[in-house]
Amino acid sequence: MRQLWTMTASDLRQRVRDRSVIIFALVVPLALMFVFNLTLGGAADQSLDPVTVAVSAPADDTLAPILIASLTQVDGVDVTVDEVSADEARDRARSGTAELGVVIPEGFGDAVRQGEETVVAVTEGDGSGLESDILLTVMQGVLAQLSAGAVTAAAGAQSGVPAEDLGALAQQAATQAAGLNLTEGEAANEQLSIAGALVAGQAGLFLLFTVGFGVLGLIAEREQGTLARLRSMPMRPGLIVTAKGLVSFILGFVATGVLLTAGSIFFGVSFGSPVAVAVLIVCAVAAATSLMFIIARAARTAEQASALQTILALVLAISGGAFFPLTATGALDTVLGLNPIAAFTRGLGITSGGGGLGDIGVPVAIMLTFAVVGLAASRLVPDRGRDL
Amino acid sequence: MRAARAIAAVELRRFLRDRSNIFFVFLFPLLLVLVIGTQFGGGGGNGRVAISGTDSALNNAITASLEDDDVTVTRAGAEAVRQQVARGRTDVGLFISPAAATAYDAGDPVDLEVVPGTQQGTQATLQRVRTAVAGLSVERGQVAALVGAGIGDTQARAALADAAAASTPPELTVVDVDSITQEFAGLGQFDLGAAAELLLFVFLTSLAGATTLIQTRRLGVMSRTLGSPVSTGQALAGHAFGRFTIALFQGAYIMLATAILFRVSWGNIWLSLLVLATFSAVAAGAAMLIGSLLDNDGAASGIGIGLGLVLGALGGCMLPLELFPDTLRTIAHVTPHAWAYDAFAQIQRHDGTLVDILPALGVLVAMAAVLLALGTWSLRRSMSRAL
Amino acid sequence: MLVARDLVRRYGDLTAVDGVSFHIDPGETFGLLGPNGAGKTTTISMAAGLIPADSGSVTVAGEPMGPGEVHVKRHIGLVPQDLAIYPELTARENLMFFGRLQGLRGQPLSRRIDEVLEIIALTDRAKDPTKEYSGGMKRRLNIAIGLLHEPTLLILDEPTVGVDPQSRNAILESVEALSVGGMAVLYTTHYMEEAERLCDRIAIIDSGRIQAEGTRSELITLTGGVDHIRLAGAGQSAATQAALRALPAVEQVAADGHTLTLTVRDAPTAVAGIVTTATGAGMTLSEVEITRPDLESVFLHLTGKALRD
Repeated sequence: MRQLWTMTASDLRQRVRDRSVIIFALVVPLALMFVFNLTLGGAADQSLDPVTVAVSAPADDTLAPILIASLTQVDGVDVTVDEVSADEARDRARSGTAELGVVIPEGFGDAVRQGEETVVAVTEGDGSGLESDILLTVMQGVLAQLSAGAVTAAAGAQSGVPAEDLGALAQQAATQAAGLNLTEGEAANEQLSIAGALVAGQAGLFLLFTVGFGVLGLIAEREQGTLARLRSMPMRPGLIVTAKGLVSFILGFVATGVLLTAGSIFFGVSFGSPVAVAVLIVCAVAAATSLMFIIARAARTAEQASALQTILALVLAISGGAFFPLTATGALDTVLGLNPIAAFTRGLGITSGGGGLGDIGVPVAIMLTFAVVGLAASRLVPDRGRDL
Repeated sequence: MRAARAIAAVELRRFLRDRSNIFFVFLFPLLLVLVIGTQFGGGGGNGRVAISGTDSALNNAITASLEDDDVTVTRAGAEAVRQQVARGRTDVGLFISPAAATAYDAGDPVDLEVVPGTQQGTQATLQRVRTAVAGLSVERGQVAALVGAGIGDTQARAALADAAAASTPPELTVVDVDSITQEFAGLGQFDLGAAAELLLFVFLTSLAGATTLIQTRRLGVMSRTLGSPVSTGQALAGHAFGRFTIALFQGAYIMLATAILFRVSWGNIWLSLLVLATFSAVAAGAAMLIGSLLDNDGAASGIGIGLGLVLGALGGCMLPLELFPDTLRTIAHVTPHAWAYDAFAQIQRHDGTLVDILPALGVLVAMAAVLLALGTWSLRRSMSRAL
Repeated sequence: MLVARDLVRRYGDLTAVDGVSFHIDPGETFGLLGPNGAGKTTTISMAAGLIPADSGSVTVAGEPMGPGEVHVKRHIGLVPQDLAIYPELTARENLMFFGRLQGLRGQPLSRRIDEVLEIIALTDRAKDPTKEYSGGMKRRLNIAIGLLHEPTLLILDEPTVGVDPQSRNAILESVEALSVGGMAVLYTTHYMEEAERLCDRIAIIDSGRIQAEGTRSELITLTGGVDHIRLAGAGQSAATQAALRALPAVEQVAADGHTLTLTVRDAPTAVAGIVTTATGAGMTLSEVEITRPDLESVFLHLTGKALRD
């Protein structure tokens, strides 16, 4: 036990002296988080902004007011409607003083009623976003409704309904209440905010580099000859490998812990229950460390090892959504979900949404399975460095 | 010059001997272009809705209506749908209970539960679901109104079909004058990603090369080189030229491969190559500066990768520059990436000419010159330090 | 102290060590002499318990040695061929680290470290990271780590490779001193002079097999133990040759122009008589040269190739 600690402590001391671990484990990921957050900052706003719509409508049109009124009744979007002339509507959208410019043509109401062609022209202005999309969908719906009324009236006329009842018929068709009601439920939130995903993703990516400073040190020791000396020491040979694993583990845990903490302080992210987060970190570090054991066996030289490590780290990080969320469904989603980085991010999503220890079973199981399979695989990989 | 060429040739050979470089230089960038292109390029439709419920007329009608609206619809069990919504795998979950399906068939009022996700953009998809459901409502309203007026159900449906065929529904046309939408209009699915990845990787690979300069010093090869009639400037030029050739080669390869595999349009190929060449020179210069400033190759590779990623992110290689806030976009132009990005944008999207990209080229050349000069000075210092 | 029996170790198709047996007595310095790639390091790795033998056995102080034999390893001190020290750590930290792994601690460890630092003359530089040391300083520290816990068997794997002549001499002197102090030493080298100077007994190893083993003179007898004397000068004739051939120590005489090459037994004793005889038979000598066989010629004799690559 004493020897294990002697080796671990000595390794940690060396890794701190040789500054690369600090650069890789802390400086680079923090710098990346900072830059990413800066660039994504503008896009990260999730709430719907108030919208101004410049509308030009023909005077005395019977159906235009319905269309205009619908704009102001959209759930969740605060819409100001300015009635202006057609040219001004377009101009305001172009100049950015209105998000949308809507031009309802002369004779709109009559055209709709008679099923004749009529076009509502919308100009989508600079900086238009989600809110404009919502309003467009709403207008589309209203037009379909108005048209449905007209079609019903026409069908009624065709089927012999008296002309004076047709208006009521159209009205009834368009506003029939005995229809389909949507009640909006609330979903459990297991997602990280954009900033949260960024912090978690970078922490996950660089974890795969940080743990290399422990286990992959075996290769450096082999190259510099100290491994032979260690093996001549009066201790079990397994102790050397255990010490390296422990170094990986400690470095990984500390670095990830620091990154998540720093990330939550600087970028206002909350990852939820510290205990659950700590459990997730432990599992992620275990999974990442097991991967290093495979590399340590497969690589002949330190250069090969670091190349292999970088390849695996980037592939796992990208497929695990460390840079941008990957959306897949079905089998692909399942496969991607087995990635420890994806499981780590998913687990942090659950804890940030208020989940505790009991809720992170799936990601924890995925990461631990990965760790066990990785360790087993590392025993099966042919030992290219001989006698490790 | 002959000395510089000889050094460059050796550096190239060393680079190609290392098999892991094949992955980083040739496979990885293409993989990323593919992933980013399929994830973000081409709009990706109008959102994703996951529907839970048995196969029913209601289910089919809603699915058809949403798909007409270019919404991607998937089906799964109720629990799975809730999971998907919670994890952001879908924008909106729609739950059709057996009771709702029966009520719909019977013409009774139908209650449906809809659950929007919490991520960005779900409200727009939610509105699409609302509109689709309202559309179904209206269809039923039409029939009900006619039946109410004393017309038989079958006859009412037939009359509605006739009337619908005879009328032209009002149309909504949208002219998008948003500058970002306009900027990206006409851009192929992979075009944006390809240019960004090109810049990111050319720079990253070059900076990683800083370590070879350190190794050369440590192994004593540099002392040997300088012991022969070769000046520090020539030696550095040789190394820089080696990195430059590698960068140019990788960049040209990415251009060619993406053009063939993903049909990426690089505009005027000569101008694009010119941008690539000046950018490669900056990358080589930066590698030389790092390689001569630092003595520890582990730290240098850390700084190289870190700097490569950070500058890439800041220079618009991960999120398009056009989406940056204005001040940040200005700041971004401290990076060579941003200038090269602008130049590529000119060439790819606006058929820019040499005159259009001249300012960007000028800045890149100036950056390269400054970095190479600093690198030579610093290498001279580090050599005298070592001796 | 150490007994190796029929050691075999294979790497894939290559049999690096193929049936090696030898023993080292307490206080004895035993040399493994052979060219690079002969199997010296693999043999040593098995002797030090770094790797298991595919077959055969090693016992140290009467107990079987192997990778898992923790307590047996306390007897040995290994000085690997590479500079097995941590460049980021200081000399003292390196010694402290390996000392702890050997089970030393506290005051005794500190005292021993001071002692060792004094012996290798690194006391002044003990607090500098070893990456700033010269090659010779690193070599000295490398050996000191192997001696720190006062092992009864010191295993040195080519400790003088790439060392300047001065440091090399210092290393050889310290090994001589150690064996005087009663420590058994297993020493591998491909330098014949080192083996001749240091070792009580020498095993010549090539292609994974021990070709011959014994004291220096025992080995030399293997070549037939004959010396050569070369006589150069004017006036040699058939009569001279006949007179020389008549001497009991002389086995053979070959003439080449002005030079006679004699194959003799025990040249130092015979040379006086030979010179007298040759001069007496009319030869005016300008040059007399004695050549005696060394380990180089033993190696050549045994393997048909030169020791150095």
